[in-house]
Amino acid sequence: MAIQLICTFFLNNTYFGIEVEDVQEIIRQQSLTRVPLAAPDICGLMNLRGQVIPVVDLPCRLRLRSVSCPIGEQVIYNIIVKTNDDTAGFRVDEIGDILECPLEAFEPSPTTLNSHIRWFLKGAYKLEHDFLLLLDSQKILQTTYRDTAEEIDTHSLFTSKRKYIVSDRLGR
Amino acid sequence: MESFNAVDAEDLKAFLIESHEMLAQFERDVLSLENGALNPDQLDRLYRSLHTIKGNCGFLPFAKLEAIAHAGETLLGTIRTTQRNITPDVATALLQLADAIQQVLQTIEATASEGNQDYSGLIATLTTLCKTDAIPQATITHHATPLDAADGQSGMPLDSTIDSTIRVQVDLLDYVMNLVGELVLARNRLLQLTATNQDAEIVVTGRQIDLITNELQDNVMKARMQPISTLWRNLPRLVRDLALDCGKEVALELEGSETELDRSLIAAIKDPLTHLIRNCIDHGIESPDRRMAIGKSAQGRLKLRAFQENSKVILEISDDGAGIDSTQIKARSQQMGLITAAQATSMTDREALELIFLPGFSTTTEVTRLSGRGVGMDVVRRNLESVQGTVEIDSQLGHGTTFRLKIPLTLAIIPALLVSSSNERFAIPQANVQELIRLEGEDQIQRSIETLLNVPVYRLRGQILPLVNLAAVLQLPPSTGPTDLLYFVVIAADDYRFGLIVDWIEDTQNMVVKPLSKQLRSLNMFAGATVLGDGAAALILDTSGLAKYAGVQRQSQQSFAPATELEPGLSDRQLILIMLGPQNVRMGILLTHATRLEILPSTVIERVGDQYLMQYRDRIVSLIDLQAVCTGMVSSPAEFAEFVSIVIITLDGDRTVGLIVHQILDIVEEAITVTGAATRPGVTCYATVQGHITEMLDLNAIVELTNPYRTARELLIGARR
Repeated sequence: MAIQLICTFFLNNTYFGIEVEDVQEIIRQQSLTRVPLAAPDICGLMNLRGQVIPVVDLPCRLRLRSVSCPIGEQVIYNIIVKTNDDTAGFRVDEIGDILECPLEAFEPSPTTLNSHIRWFLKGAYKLEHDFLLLLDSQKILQTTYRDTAEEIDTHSLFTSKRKYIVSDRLGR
Repeated sequence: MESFNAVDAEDLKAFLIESHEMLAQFERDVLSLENGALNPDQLDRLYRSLHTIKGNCGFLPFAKLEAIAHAGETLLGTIRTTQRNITPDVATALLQLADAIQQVLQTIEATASEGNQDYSGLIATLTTLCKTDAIPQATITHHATPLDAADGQSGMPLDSTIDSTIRVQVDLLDYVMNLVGELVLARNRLLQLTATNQDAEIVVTGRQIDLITNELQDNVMKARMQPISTLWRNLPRLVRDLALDCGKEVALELEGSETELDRSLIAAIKDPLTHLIRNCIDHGIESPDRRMAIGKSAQGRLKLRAFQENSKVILEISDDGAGIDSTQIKARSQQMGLITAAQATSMTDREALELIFLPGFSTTTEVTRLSGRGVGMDVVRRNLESVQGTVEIDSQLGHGTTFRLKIPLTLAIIPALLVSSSNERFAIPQANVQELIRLEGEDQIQRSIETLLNVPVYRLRGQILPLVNLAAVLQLPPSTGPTDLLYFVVIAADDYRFGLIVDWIEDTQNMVVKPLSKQLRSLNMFAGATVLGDGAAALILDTSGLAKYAGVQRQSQQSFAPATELEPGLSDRQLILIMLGPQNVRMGILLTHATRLEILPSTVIERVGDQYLMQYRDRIVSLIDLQAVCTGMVSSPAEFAEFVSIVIITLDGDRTVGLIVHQILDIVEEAITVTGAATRPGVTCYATVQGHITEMLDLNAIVELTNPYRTARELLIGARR
């Protein structure tokens, strides 16, 4: 049975994932350098061991919320996504497990989803209780924020609002 | 040795490296062909390598090597056509051939000549093998012996080219570079820690790591860079051949061949450069007859100039030929439907020249003077854009054309000025920074800053300088700094000149330019990013991008041109330091003499005998009070004001004296208009500078004047450390 490893995380209490091959590492958010005049989903620049990479607020890029880069008390994690031609850090709300997903469970993106989010998706894994939405790393890296922001009420898109209990297995 | 003088040492080195590489591949291919079935690709490669070596020998005086390679090539050619397998005999002969070539190459490397080895036996074997497969084993072994013997005699040259260079993946170098970047940051933290540490051993070790890190960083950088001369090496030949083909006489001038740029970029600009040179010779430079007829020298001039400016390498290709007629370009573009008639009339000449870079633009069918100018120009531009470069064109009808290629150094260390605005730090490439200005006191700020057409401006030595507030342009929260202090950086970039208001000016550092991520490429006001000493990332400003974004007006073309046209020596404009001397008289000296301007507390002045001296940068400098020279009133040290303005002057190369003046006023660039002869000693003449009468000082005379007994010289020499 073919297995795909997925690095999972939560955005606005919705379960998302990226194929583990595209994830370089997961780090705690460091201090960022603001980029003036950048799109609202750009949180800033980070020095990742000598490499300067941008940090993108993923919920904001997916239009799951309009306020970008909120500053809270909780520890924030960045998923460093690396493809052939670009590297960026994506800020997520909460880190999940690395899941082993059987390829049989892979389905096209649910059509009930808003088209803006569907654009970023490769598809979905049907889990026991819920869906895991698989993001397309190329698309989240390449699609920059467009100014046609529309409010997306994520709560109306998903029937299940069950929040996953996440065991923090990432060695921290 | 003599046979060899004509050969460029660089060419020879390149030949040796290439040949060594081909030989290594040759051996591997022979061995694998011997073991398996005939692989046409490998056979082709074998054939090609010998052919290349043979071909290269044609340019170099190596007849023997050429003969060996030729014999091998013939054999491989036969095998290729007859499709027969490589027998062990053939393989042995081919390997011996490789050995022989190797041996000749080593001899060439050591002695710069082919040596006296006799390879006729080997050549005979190879020739015989062409005819038949059945070669007596003895023949081969017979030839193997002298080769081995020869090896034993000459020995392996230790310092060989093959050992001194290796090929390394650029990826690997990038990775090493990043590691060095991390090391630099760790070093910086370590130095901060050791600063408070009392343990001498830790401090010393910290310093050692500091030194080693710096050297490591420099050398890893260097490893990626190549001088542009590697690209220019073949140009004299290319230019000569092209000129002959077109029946023109062209002198090639190369300037700045030591300018370095990244290896990958050198490869990327090779084709565009060749194309532009071809264009200049073919269409730019006129035929000798035509040139003579219009009063130019028969020989045309093609000049290549490379230099570094900020994070860009500028490569200029200019000819002194016919130039491009913008009217004709417009007409042609209109004919081809690239622009409308209305566009053509409203277009400036400069814009018209840009038309030749349009993809459709071509004049191939048209037989005019500018025919071909546009052919492939769009390709040139596209090639450059693929490496984030640009190409600009500047042409004067009848006087020539200049193409200016700007190529970025994606990996370069540039000196940059660190400034801050609204608590954010930004780097400005030092090459764009002309001067730093600080205005103190609300009154002065109010008075100095005027508003002209809704733009705040500052009069800098009579010239109007538009001011741009960095925080406002970048939409940062307004700064809450003191209102009685204003700092601005005078920036000159491309055609822009403006003052950039910042909150604070830190210092100049060498910064590693990191390219901006694709996510941020649309932000033209930033040229890149860098990592600062404390590990934070900072943005590097692209000054011309910022000027465009802020809406700064370009300086007019006319006011810009003379500055670049004039040769420095021919200009009669000079930088003059204006100061207030005794009795508030305006005095001026040529800035070339002044090395530094200092305002120091008068306590630094010490009196030794009749001399005033001060300790300055590890040496003792004798001071000359201008007041004493002009009025004869000698002040005692107590009579000086609390702070004195001192102009440090260097005469005759290394004589340093300090001139005590009342006040330093300004530095102006002007042509001196002499308005009267000197009326007192120590003064060269009266001149009008900035519309005011100014006494121009004769510094040598002043030094003599202060020392009537001519003891100054001895004193100065004695005082020097």
